[in-house]
Amino acid sequence: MKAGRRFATLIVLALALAMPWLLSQSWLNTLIIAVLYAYLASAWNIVGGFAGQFSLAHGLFFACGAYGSTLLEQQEGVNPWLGMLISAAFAAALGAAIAWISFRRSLPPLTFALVTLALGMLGLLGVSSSDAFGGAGGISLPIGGGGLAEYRMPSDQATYYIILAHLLVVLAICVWIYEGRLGLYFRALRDSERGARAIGIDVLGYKMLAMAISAALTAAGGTFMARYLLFIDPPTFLGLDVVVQSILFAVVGGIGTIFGPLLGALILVPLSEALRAQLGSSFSGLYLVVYGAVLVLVIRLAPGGLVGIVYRMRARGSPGRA
Amino acid sequence: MATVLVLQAALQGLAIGAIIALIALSMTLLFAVCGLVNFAHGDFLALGMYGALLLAGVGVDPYLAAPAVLVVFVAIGALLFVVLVRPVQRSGLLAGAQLTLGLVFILENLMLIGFGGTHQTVRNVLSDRNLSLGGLVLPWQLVVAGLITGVLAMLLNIMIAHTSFGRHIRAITQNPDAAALMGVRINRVQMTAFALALGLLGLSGPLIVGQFTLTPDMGLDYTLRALIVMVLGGLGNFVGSFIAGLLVGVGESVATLFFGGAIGAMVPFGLLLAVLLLRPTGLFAQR
Repeated sequence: MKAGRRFATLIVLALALAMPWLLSQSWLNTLIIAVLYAYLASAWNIVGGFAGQFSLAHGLFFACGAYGSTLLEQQEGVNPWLGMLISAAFAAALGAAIAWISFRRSLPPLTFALVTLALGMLGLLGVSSSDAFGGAGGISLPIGGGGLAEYRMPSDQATYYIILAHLLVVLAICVWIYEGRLGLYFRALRDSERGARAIGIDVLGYKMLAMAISAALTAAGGTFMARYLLFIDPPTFLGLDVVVQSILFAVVGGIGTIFGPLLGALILVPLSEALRAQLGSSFSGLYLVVYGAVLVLVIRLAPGGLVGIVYRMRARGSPGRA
Repeated sequence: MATVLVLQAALQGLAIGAIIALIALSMTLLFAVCGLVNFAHGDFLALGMYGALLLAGVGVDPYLAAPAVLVVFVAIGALLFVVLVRPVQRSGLLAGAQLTLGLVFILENLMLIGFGGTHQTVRNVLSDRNLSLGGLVLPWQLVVAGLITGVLAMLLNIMIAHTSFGRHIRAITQNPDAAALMGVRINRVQMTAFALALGLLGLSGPLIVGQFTLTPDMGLDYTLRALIVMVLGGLGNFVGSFIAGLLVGVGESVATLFFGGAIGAMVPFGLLLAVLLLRPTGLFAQR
């Protein structure tokens, strides 16, 4: 069993590494976006799924990574890789602070989602109207020049491997958290805050920690997105779109599981892209109608997410392990 | 002069606040009775407005179109509840969120396909007519929209406070299990509430459409505002939501006058943040 699983992991990894040679240019770009979203959804899942704290402020952290690394490079000449780390540290502090403000007193459920929603929207409106961040017009990054050492993408293959490396790191962190003591604490405070407190878990501290880890990882994703698009503007990075999409992928795949968010993003992003290619020419919005219908159907037929279906099938295959 | 401007902005804000309050009330109805945060709420309102646009195309004034759209929306609401909402209800808040987010994609893009992405306006019998009161000038249709939504909101509150249907709604809000044990037919009340909530959107959409510029993606903005107002008023508190709606409308309008649009747009979110952190049960918590 153990050996079989290791073998399967190796095959999947080899397949992932071979992708640039198997796919056409346009599908490789779709895959890059899919892997980016798998990364973002997995990062969100640490606080939203493992710890059950529904953050809608992740646009702030995403923007931290994009704006932070870019402004540090353009104004202080800081290497973007270093800028990524600095922005991630800043995002972690910001995330911990947001969690502290929100959870300092115990609030009714749903409140954290609303506090983070308000903070996210205030961030969007604030950055859009502030000249220091390029305002609503955004900031362009110079095209070309420099190599990987300056976080410039020499080719789509390189871009893909960079984001794949991001994804592998976040998955490793997810496995490490989930299977370790930290994951137990997170799940305990998610399932019963009172119970968690009663057995001596520092609830506030671990919520801040979950938020900080998730925020730092999300910020690194923001840096990647900025280097990939070579353009940053408030709606793309701070809008509700990115966080809502990440949450959708996590929920559709299976929230609170290790591989659910990955599964959701890797299925839904290419699906939406394929639908667009098929239907986009006839009616501009039709592919999104179908996409919405898929979301509705999945929740109607598999409320536990796609991972839930896999578990159910496996449980049926081996009786007595339900 | 300055006072007139402020008063004008405040009155305008009051009318818009009444509109937001009504949207928030119908959202509160869904949340209180069905435990559903409907992210497609603003999109259904937009759909109601496009319904008026459709009927205006064949020469029906939006004010006359309202009852027809109301009937259609009541039917849509009942159908939606039976086919989609009831089956996923037990799976919790997140499942409902995914469901309604899926509906957002479907609705917005169906409207995009059906009506195009261009900005459109619908004229009614009151377009271009203004009400002047002293130095104040207000468009008639905004006055009418504010009054009608205000009256509808009040009727809804009276119904919830004084009828037996309203008592059932309050009972389910407080404790669904106990309500069921006391013989409240939860399923039927939930379906009626769903039909009523969507019906309110179908009714008010055409009545307020003259005041808006229609685009297929206009819904999210109103969903967010309604959500904010619902929370400000205290979740499930109908009177509180109404007052909070007026407050947000006036606050945004007056702040825009003094500090410009960017700050004005921040007001609802700033209010939300302040209230959540300082008074988490809402402005008008019931004791």
